[in-house]
Amino acid sequence: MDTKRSAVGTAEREATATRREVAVVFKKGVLPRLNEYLAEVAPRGVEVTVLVANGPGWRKAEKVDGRAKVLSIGRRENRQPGVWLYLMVVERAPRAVLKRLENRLPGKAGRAAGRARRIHRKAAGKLRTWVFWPVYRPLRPQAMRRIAARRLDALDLARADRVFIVDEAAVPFGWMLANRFPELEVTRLLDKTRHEDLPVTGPTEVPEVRDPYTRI
Amino acid sequence: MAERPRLLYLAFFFPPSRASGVFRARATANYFVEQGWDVTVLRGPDRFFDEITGARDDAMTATVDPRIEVAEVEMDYFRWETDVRRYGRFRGNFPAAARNWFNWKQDHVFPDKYQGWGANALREGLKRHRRQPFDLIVATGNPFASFGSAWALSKLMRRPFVVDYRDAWTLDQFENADMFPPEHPAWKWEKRILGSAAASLHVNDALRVWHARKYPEAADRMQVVLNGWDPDVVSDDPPTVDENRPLSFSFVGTLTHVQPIGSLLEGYRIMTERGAHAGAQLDFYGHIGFFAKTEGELRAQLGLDEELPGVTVRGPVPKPAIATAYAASDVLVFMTGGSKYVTTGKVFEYMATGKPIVSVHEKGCAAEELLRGYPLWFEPESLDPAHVAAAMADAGDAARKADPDTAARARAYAQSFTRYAALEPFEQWSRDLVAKRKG
Repeated sequence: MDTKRSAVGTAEREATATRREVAVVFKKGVLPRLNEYLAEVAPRGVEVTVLVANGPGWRKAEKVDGRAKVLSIGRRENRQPGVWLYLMVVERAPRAVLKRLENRLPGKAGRAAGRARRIHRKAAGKLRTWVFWPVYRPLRPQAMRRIAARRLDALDLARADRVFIVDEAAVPFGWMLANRFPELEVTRLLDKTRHEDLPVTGPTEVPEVRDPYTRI
Repeated sequence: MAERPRLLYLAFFFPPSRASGVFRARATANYFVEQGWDVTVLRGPDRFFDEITGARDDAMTATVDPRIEVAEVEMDYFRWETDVRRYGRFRGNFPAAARNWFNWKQDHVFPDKYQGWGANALREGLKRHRRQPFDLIVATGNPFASFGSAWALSKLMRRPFVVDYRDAWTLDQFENADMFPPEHPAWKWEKRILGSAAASLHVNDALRVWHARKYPEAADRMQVVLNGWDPDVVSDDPPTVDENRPLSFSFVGTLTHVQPIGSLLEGYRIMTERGAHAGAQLDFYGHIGFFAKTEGELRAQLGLDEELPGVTVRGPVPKPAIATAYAASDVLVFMTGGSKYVTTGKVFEYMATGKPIVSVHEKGCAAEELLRGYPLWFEPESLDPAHVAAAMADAGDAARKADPDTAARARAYAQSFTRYAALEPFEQWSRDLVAKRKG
């Protein structure tokens, strides 16, 4: 399988001569750095596919540069039994019930439901920060590795020159790729100068894309 | 015949590294071996010089005395490793736990990212000591993990140790401020190390005084060992002047972001626009930054990524060939981001050439003390480009005039600043220390 990936990859690269890279991002904090990289390489014709895990906590995240193809496993992450159960029991269900009560109950009872909804929102936020994330954060890299590993076809690694593991949470996935595909370069280094030899041929402005994510 | 004293020298940056601190380490090892010591050097691994700094110069290795035993000591690359394939099983599967473990070791074992090298150097030193005991341990920093290893080796081997501060550890020499917050473990370690070191060496008196104030209990064991110039690198032959060629103003050394390069470029532009020294060139010899990976970025930051009339970035010159760069230069530009704590080793090389030197740095730099006695030193009033231009023009005039007496006086002054001259008292002190201990 490894040899096949390597052989196919080499042949295709020689045929197309287009440079292709895959970036893996599981933490939103690194998106500005990734976008800086994309702004540098996309106008030079480098094709970058970005795999994002835009699950819980990504609502206010910066959007990935629209010139990259973005594949999302965020929904898959949210559907993991533990995550789904937590979000449902602690956040979504009480929120939905309290919102409905606030809208439907008249007078004092409605106002009390509204107050309860606001208290719940605050409490849910605190719980997410102090309970959910401390428990889930150490497990997340492995959980995301398993989800991403089942969707390798979408990444088309046969045509990729290298894979960037942009953040620490994506390391287990990257480490698995490195071991499974010995010929594939898997690196943490986003080196903007790597493609300086290519001329700028594409637009340098970032296109407006409403929803750049393709769910896989 | 008396037994040769044995020195264990912990010098991470040692040839084939081309880091700026290598020359002091190389001279120390060479000088001690010439004075009759058996010298064993524990240095950093080749992979670090090849891949991480990209700063390797194999020609340097040939300049190390063959009698010196040099051992490459491996290290862990936690802070530098970018190839995910090279991660171990633990880091590959649990990256956050691996990071926490690394940080814990920084806080509780030794606060230096080269700690892994220090631990291996400790093991290697002990192994060699059991085979044939050493008499003295000298560690040069950075990295300061070597100080920690020397301290531990001293305790385990019951031998004296000396720490050689090529750079300050806890002082930011450029900002004149503490490098770490008060609760940082580096302070505790520095106090512990200086408390039990037989001596600490500093590259100028300002640094010695700073350390003496900070650690008064160790003040009487602090020495100044200046940097110096290497006779095998710089020729002190009288320069030949070709009156017909345009003047060449040269900066020789590593360019970094702390140097006031803007003032120099602007000063040069003003000087040439005013018609002083028509056709004069400004040449940069040397690397841009200490890390090959950041060279492009730094080049852009310094404003050297675009073509500037008369300005040429000539790139790195192998150390053994550096005399060629000096020979091609008429005026040397001494540019540093220095403060009263920064001398830089380059100033000694510059003086050894006997050529006019024009300073481009803030007032109060430690190198001024040395340059003050040099008859061909040109110091601008300030870093204002107009002042820099005037000083450059004056230095150019001196180069054109090429007064042989002044040049001879300049070279004679520089003679007292060879590396070996600087190391002589320290070597004698080390010999006495070892002799006293042996009784």
